[in-house]
Amino acid sequence: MTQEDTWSAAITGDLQTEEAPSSITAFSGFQIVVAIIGMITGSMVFINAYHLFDGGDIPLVGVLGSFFTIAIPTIVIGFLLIRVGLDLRKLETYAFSWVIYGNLLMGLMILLAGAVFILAILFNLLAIALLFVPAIKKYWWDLFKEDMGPRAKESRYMLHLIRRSPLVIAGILIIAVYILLAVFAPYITPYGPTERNWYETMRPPGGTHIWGTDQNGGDIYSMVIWATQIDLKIAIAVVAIALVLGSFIGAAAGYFGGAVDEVVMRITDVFFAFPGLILAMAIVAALGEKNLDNISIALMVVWWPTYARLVRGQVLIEREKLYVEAARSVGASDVRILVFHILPNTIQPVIVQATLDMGGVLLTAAGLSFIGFGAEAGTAEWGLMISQGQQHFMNYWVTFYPGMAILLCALSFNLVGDGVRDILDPKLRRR
Amino acid sequence: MKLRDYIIRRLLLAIPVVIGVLAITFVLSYMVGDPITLYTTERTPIEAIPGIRAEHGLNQPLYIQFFFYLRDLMMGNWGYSRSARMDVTATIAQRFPATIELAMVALVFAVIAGIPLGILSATKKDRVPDHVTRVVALAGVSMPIFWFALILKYLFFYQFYVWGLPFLPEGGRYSYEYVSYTPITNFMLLDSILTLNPVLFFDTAIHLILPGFALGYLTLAIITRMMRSSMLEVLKEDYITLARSKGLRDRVVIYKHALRNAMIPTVTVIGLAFGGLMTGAVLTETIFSWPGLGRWSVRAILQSDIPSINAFTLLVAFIFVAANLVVDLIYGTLDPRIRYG
Amino acid sequence: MALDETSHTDSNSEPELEMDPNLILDIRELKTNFYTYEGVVKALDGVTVQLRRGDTLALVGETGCGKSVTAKSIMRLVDSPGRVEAGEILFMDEEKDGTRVVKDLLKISEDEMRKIRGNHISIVFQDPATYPNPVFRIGDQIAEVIRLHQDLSLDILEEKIAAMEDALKLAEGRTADQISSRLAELRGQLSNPPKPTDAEIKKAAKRKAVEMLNMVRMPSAAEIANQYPHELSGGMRQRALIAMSLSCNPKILIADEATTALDVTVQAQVLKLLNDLKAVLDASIIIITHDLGVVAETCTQVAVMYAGVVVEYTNTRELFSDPIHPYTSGLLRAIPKLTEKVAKLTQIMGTVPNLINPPTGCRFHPRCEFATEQCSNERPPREEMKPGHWVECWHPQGSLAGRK
Repeated sequence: MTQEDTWSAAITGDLQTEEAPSSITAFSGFQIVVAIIGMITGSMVFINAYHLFDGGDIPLVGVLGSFFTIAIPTIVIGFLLIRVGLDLRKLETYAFSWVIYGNLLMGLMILLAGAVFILAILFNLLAIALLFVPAIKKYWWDLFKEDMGPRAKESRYMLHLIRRSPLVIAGILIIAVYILLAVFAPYITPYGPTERNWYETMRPPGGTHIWGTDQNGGDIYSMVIWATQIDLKIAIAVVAIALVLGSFIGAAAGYFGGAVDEVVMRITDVFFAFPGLILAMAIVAALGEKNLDNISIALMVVWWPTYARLVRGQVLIEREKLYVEAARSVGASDVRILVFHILPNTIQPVIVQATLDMGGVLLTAAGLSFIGFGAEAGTAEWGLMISQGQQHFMNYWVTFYPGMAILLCALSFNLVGDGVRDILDPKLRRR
Repeated sequence: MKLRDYIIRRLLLAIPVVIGVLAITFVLSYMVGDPITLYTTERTPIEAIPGIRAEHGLNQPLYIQFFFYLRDLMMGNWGYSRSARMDVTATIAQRFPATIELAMVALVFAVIAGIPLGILSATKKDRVPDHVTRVVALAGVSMPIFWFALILKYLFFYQFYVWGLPFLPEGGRYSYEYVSYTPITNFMLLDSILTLNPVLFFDTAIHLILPGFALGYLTLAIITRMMRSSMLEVLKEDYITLARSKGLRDRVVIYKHALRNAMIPTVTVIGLAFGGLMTGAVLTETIFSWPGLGRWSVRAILQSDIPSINAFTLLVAFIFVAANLVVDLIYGTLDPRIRYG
Repeated sequence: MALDETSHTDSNSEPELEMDPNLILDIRELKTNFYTYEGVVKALDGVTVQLRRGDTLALVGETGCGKSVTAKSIMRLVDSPGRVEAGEILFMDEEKDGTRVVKDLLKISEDEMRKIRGNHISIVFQDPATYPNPVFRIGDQIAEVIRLHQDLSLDILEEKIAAMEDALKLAEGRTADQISSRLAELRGQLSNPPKPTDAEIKKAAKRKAVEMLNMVRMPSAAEIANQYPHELSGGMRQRALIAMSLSCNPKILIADEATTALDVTVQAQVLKLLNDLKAVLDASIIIITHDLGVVAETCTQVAVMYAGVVVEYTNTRELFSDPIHPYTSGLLRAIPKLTEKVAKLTQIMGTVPNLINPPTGCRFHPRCEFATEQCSNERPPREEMKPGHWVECWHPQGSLAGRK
């Protein structure tokens, strides 16, 4: 929404314009994440199934393989539809007919995207269900139980340890609270995120404005809650994509070694030569517009090398371990080894890193917004709020509450990440 | 001679990194905007543009332009900074000491406080000092630096003033209204010692407290955490059991046997801290009106001042690479397994 | 063995402990537990064993039977989640003036224990790769123990006197007179040597460290002393660790699987070294091992451990010729003999028990072919079934089979 729209919206009292887009963008984000997960799980099943049905006489390969190709279009189509829909919104004027047609078209788009999405889910479920058909189950179930047995016991022990660690639980709870705040933002805030009341600027906390107002008359409390959507989305999206991208590249580098490995190492070296924020600054500047999407992209580019290095290191270690040689000596294929033996052992440090990185990305994104790189002026975003309140730091409430929001969010991620890391550390277990 | 091999290898590895850094900054600065804008204004007639392009080599293929770029860099021609209204090199020369002085103060503070805290936390694991230290360190890595700086400013400048307590200055490197200063090295603490000017020294020090603490807190937290975890690991090692079985006192075991080993990974973290300090400078210099590189970079980017952005990114990258290189070399000399391979 | 009951007060005010003067270490009913997530591991359940002066005692048993835990308990190095619960470890300590004091190692203060560790009782561990500190030189690590426990002032003085005497041989005239008077002065201090400087102590300790390395037959000892652990081979490192543990002339040396990580040939050398040194230094050795060959070669006494209990204790010859406890005879039968041709190796049925829920009564009864109901109900008492041959068993075998 441009500044003009906000003005006119405020004057005409039309605040409906804000609700749809935020839930839609949340929806699209959710869709992307689910599609990626579907792709990953699907490819794991697919790879193993391919190994089992090497002869190819059962069309299951075709079935399983096809959903792989469903997931990618889902992302693309869904994404495109949402973007088109949002653009239509932007064209919207206050012409009466255009509003109706615009909404209608919007609705159709959403339905279509949703249908494709649901189809993808159904396909995945069908593929998984087919695996359990007795004729097929007998091929893999016993081996699977053997492989997974000790791992299941470990997982149960780990969950027990998590339950016993109060800090980790606290961290998880806080994150859950934040997610709830983000999802239910429209319902728990008295004001919209871009609502401004020019008669009540710079009010200290009290009365209708629990946490006071800023110099433009925006309610601090509402803005902080609404900003949760933006900041959480950025943190999750950036880490998810950096993780997937980085892990693939790192796994390839570690497993194939040689030239591939060297190239990847040099590239990550160059990326590591820049401090994160500063490289992100340069990338956003290079991308042109200073908006949230570009921040996300810049941060993804900055963060993926971490995962590449991490996964590469783990794969290198695992590759040399004796159980790989043992598995190979009883006939396991390379792919099977990679997916079922090496990968599970690399997940643990990756998960720890991802959790900690969510806090890091959050802080960096807020920092970028603070300098002026992020959300457009007027959006509710924590870093931006602090930046705008800089000059008036004497009115502490303008900067204090957004900063506390960042602090608690990053803190909870760090608590969980630290706690999980301590639990997963093999040297500290069994004590 | 493992150490020599190690040093050589490290130095050789740095070369492709430097090349990569230069390449990336070149590409990025090109993407920010067509360099033609550096040499034209709105009033330049359109017919003149191709001529200007040819004059500055902007019509050449990219790799040739990259070569010109490298040549300019090495000859010291880093361009003109629109946002600072000075040549880039002059801007850097002027602002560099301010940022480095601040960063050094922050680093010294972080190291002197962080290492003992980490040791304390590890030796008193799961007891009150450990919990307190962990909370402090955890807050440090979870907190946005710029917000922390503002809170500090609010408390120690504004609130202290309101409460009638002696308050710390709002910003700036020194109280220019009251104290005169003629720069020699532009490192104010050093200059005040060289000119034997205690008033200047004291004034500068006071001005360094808040920004130094704000900047250093994150580094302190990182060092503390790293020290704690590496101490904990070391304390589990067999040679610690051996040391105790010799009848050594616990204090000797910790401070002699364990610490030497635990310091080794911690030193590498200190190298990484430079990156954090540079980042912190960008975020906090504006708040404290600190005339350093960070503030310059923020303004430059907001104004799309390409040469400045380029120069700043390059400079930071070089400092970071150099710091990590030095740290790695120190690491090599500390660990006898590398030194006397 | 008469024993006055001790109270829980400071050892200075305790009534005198008494101990058989032939013994140097007397462990009684030692119980050590480990408190883990899965439960309480009762690692040692009443270990009773003696070490006589001049003995080489072998603590034999399978992995997990509690040998290392016993060693650590003696040194009081058991770390959480472990804890020594009960029992006594009586040690015949010797004060500087030669008087003998019996101390219960589990009851003395930490300060006193520290004076004993590395000094009167020292331990050599299993893995020479992980046990020396990688950042200090070998010589320095040995010198550290020497500096800690020994008063080098006399040695330093004697060294000075020796140097002076050498100088005297070469000097003449006035210098010779000066040296002589100085020499006389130094000799006068022999009965009460002055406190040396730190630098002198460091040098003297270093010299002694090199002496120790020579004693353990380390080639080029002086050069080795200046090297770091990773520059030495496994066997050399183990020798260095042995030098470290012997440097203060301990009464008891505990070798916790000290040769397990070494090649067989190096192993033989190290064992021979230990035995030779024992004679020179008048020490007693406890060798912890699972290798019966080592036991037969080098040890005088053997204590067989199973699941945290000493089931049989006697001298080596007796053990090999007449094993009484079924476990011991099972162990000996399981050793393949070159002279016999068998189709199948004999083994002891079953596996080592889980010590969180150990078997009731005699801990060996689930695997014992002679077990009866009594064995699962009651723990057998420790009896001297033959002279000098203690066994804990309800149905002793060997030469006593058929009795009881």
